[in-house]
Amino acid sequence: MRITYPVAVVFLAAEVASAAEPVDFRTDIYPILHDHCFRCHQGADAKSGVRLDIRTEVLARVKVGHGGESLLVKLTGGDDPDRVMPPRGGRRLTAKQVALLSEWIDQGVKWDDQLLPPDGKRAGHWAFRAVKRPEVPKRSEWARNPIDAFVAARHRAQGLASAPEADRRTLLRRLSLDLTGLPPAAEEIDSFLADTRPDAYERRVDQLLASPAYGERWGRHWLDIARYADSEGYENDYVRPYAWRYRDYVIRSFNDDKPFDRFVLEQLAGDELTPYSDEHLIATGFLAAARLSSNEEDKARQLNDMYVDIANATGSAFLGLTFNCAQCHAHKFDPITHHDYYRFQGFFLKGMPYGLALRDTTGIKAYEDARPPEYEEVRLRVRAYLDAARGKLNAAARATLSPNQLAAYDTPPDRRTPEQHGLAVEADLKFQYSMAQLEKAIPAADKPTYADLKKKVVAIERKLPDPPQTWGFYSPAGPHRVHVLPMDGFYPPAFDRLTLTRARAFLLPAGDPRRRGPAVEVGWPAVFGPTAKDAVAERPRTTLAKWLTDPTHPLTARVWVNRIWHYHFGRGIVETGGDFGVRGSPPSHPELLDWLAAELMTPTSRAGGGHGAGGPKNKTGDDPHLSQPWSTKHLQRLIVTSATYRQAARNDAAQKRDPDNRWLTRWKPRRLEAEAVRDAMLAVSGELDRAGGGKPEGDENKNTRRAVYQIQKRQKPSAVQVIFDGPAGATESCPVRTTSETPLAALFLLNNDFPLARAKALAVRVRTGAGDDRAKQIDTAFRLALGRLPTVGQRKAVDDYFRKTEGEADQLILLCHTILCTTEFLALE
Amino acid sequence: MLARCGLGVGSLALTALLADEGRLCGRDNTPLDPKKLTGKAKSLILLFMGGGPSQVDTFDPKPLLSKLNGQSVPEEIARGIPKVARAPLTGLLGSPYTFKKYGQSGLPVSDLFPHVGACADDICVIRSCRHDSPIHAPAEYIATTGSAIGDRPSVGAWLHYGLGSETRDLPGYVVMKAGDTGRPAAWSNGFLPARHQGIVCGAAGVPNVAMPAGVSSRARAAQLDLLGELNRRHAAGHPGDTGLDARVRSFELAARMQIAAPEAFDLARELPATKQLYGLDDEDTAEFGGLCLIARRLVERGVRIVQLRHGGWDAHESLKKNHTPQARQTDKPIAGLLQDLKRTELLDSTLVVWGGEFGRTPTAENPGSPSPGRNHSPSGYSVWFAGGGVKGGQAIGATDEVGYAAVERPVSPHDLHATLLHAFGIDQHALYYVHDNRKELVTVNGGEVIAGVFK
Repeated sequence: MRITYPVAVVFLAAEVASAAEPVDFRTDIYPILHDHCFRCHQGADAKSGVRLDIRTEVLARVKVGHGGESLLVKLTGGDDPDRVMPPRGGRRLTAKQVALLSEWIDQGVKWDDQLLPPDGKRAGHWAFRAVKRPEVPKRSEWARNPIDAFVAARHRAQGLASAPEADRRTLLRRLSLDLTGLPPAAEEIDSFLADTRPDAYERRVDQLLASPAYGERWGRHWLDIARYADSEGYENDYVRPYAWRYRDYVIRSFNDDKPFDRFVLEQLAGDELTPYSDEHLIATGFLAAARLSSNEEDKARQLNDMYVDIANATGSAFLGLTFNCAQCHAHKFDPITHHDYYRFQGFFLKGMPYGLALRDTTGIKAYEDARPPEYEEVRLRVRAYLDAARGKLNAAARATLSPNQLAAYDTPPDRRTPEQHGLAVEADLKFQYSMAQLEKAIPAADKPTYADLKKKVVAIERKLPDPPQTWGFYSPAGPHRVHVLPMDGFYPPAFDRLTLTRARAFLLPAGDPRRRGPAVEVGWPAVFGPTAKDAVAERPRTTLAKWLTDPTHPLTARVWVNRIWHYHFGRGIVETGGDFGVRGSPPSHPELLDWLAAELMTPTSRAGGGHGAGGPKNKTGDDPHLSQPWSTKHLQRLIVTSATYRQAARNDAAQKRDPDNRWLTRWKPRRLEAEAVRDAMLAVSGELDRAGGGKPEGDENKNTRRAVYQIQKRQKPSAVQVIFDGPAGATESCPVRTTSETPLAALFLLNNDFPLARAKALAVRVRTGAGDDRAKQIDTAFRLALGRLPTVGQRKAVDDYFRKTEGEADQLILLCHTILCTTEFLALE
Repeated sequence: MLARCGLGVGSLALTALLADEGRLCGRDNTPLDPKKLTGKAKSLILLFMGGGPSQVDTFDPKPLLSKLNGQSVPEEIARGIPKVARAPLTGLLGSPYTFKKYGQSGLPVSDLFPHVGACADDICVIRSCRHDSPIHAPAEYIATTGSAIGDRPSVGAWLHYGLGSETRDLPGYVVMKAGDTGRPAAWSNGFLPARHQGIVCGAAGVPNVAMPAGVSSRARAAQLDLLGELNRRHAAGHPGDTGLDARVRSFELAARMQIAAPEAFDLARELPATKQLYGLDDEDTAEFGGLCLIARRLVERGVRIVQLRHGGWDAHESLKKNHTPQARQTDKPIAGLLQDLKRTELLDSTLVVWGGEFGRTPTAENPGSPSPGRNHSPSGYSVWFAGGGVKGGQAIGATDEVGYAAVERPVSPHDLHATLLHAFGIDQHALYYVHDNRKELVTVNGGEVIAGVFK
């Protein structure tokens, strides 16, 4: 060895020297182009028409083999301040980078088609190609269904072996927590363990999928995606008292296994669907969950921020793409241009979020019966005073405008020139009055009458039930007439039917709402093909939803099955669940992802389900057990009955080589989410109030309903959510939650009233079941909280604890408290 | 892991991803190593004056404003004033306060802040701060997070993410408020993991630090022993699950915090002279003085960021009835803090930043009123830096002759953030976090270090 070693070194050194350091496109060249050139020179809007993101375009401008003579090298390396690239303000290339470019041209302009596909449209990117159902690999003995066949194929390729199946107790706990967010009750465990039928597990799966708790758990996952909250956010964070109807709609939709394509359609276009239904209007709460600053006087900014929120959330939720960047400039990686962004935003501009009256007849009757006859008259008189005051203030404001401003302001928004747009936005600032300003402008002589009337309105309204309503998104350009209710706030945006109906999409240079670029045609990003113009004109968001859920759409089904997978396993097949773009992580199991997507859209597999419970069945097919298309429960049934899902947490042989469990060689335990921490404690303490739906609860420590029913205030999130990584502020669609382990969480568990109160209730349960017999108490406490008896070692540790606390008042309570704090209790294994 | 590197995610981000698996406070896996940074600052005390203190009545004297009292903004100045909401150009209002030159530097400070004035040689005033939101919340978010929407991490959270904390016995990022107003986004973690958020501590100190009533320390000790034993046994059955180890340790840390935190927040053992320095002996200054003194104690104990919020500077109705008491409540405490930090040799390693979400209009909101007030104005306002290597006794940048808009060396909140990081030796481009698969920077898409701030 000692003799050959130096020889090898010499050989290697020679290699490096002679090969003239082959340039690597991905690591050497792409970063240069990306950081220094693409800001101007990529995409259809490239400056001077020079595109550096397409190989053939680059080839046309350089001389292969003569890097030094190429304009690209001359300009980037040059000294002439008028010609150097990037120009003034841009970051200059280092000499080494220039040399790399030269070398790259010398070596033939090597390219990476994955990063920058040849047609420049990135259509070559795997996630932008239509889903094709892959062939299922040959099944091994281990495989229970096609999912396992795909997983096993990767195991074989990697030389890995799966973990053995977890014990049944663990499986039931996993299944319950995963599907319902609640641990199984002790009796449920007993009956499951006693059930010797071969399909006992599958039966349990069906029962859990059919339980209302399933929708509460999986609906909450969707609410993360929908950035749902019960308040508007920003400065005043006004509560939206009827946003909860959407939350309940989501829970209902999961429980009913509403086909996902239908779910998409209702959420994006519920107000456009015929015939009208309250349920559809409520579904638009997805769009209406946008944040809104009602304290913003600058209307252009107020509205634009809201439409940006809506476009971003829609792009993120259904396409799994990060649209955000394109608000100001072309996306750096994905084929979403600045132009595309505003075309996409255009789908939403004819409507807006508002309190919307429902047609629910019983609610309306209750409201009308309670309404005193004089109410309407008093209300109108109050409004008349305010309108008169507004008229006075408007006249005063108009008097301060220049003729140009006035002309701009009086031109309908869709007909203003870009200059007029800027002037009108400025002028509009003078026409914003708070309620206090309006009231101040009422003539002194009228003030006493006005005050009286206002008092009357307030007194009546205090006793009056609210008319039936929802917080939804509505376009007056659609087929239905919906009554719009007043909005809280200093400066809420007006719901102006005419302006909305005539709204058009414009490009905003650098995303600045005060500037107005050219008008754009509403549509989806050009990379996905031409938009159906006529359909868009008639029902814009219906067209958008239909396009998204067309079986040839490459993203919607993939993104959704990946999310489902992520919520089951704690990690998506595409790990960056919020980014299916060019820079997203490639799928660990691409064929499995596509198979699942295909199976979602066109079910063929029977999944060991079919026990009657849960989910509508295919109504058209011959096979009564076959699910209908886009059934989320069908996919979940497949996943949770797979051998992959049933693996034990421990697989020592595979652990080292698959530490992240990328290849699914075991079950990777994870900490419960914020909601499940609360719900699981309440469940085992026997206190959980299972009442579903309705107005949110205001104080999480003062009621025992599930976390999903607690108020979600953007500026004042629940303590449990803040500590356990919930989507506290709901500022944007949240595809993946993080997990933080902090001493503050530990302090919460140890010292906050909430866990201790649960421990007290659990101790009462224990005493009821076990009496004063200490050994029995210990067994019962473990059984109720963890679903199993203590091991010998644990029993010894508990005995030690009792010895150490002899004479203390709350021994049993603190034992229960301790168990609720354990890593085991807080884990989803 | 290698696959991640291959995607072009740098080592910094890799560390961040690893940390995401669930590490703890302190300095495990921070992307930057404070020991390797050359900046003087090791900790930050952010004194946030909510509501917007007026620049022309505090740190930006404008003789012409007094001369033009009652008149409109001259046309040549008006032309340069951005057209934002609430920016009237009529009814200029001269400052009712007098400015005096302080220290060797002669830096002018108004008689609202005589005590702070006495520290003028340690203070660098940036007089040309500007942004474009005249509404409190968005402006506060811009000032603290760089974005008006309030969805990004606060600058404190960024620092905590970048450097961690020097102590494990206390939260690394502590927020305290005088009064109960406050906007959580101003100390939120945004897209950073939740452990980087500012922890709001009241008079009782760290939340949930007090043991529940009726639990004896003997019982608690036995409880923790049992919990440790149960958790260790559970972890033993799950080799390689780092999340479990982290949680086991989080309970150990919590137990230590339970002892250390009350001590840190307890002022009983401070000397009477020290308490006096902060104005604890005066009803008006006692509340904010107490917070400032706790801030020093926390910094002393290794806390990375202390963010104090003093709200109520929103002088719409009457400038004098508002600013006079507001300044009185904070002047002595802030001066006491600066002097005390200096005395304990902590000033050099502690960056102190003072400022609000915006300034106020040089014009009156209610001209002609016997008690004129000023409206919100983000177009030109003052922020000051002290300590942490800052060169005191100077003013940087300038507003126009009436103090309305920044005209010389305008400074954005992103510039302020870049400068703040620079005090710690952090290059704003080197500290990033991969969110939604994008590299996010503290300064969003801009921000330059303000030249001349540091020695």
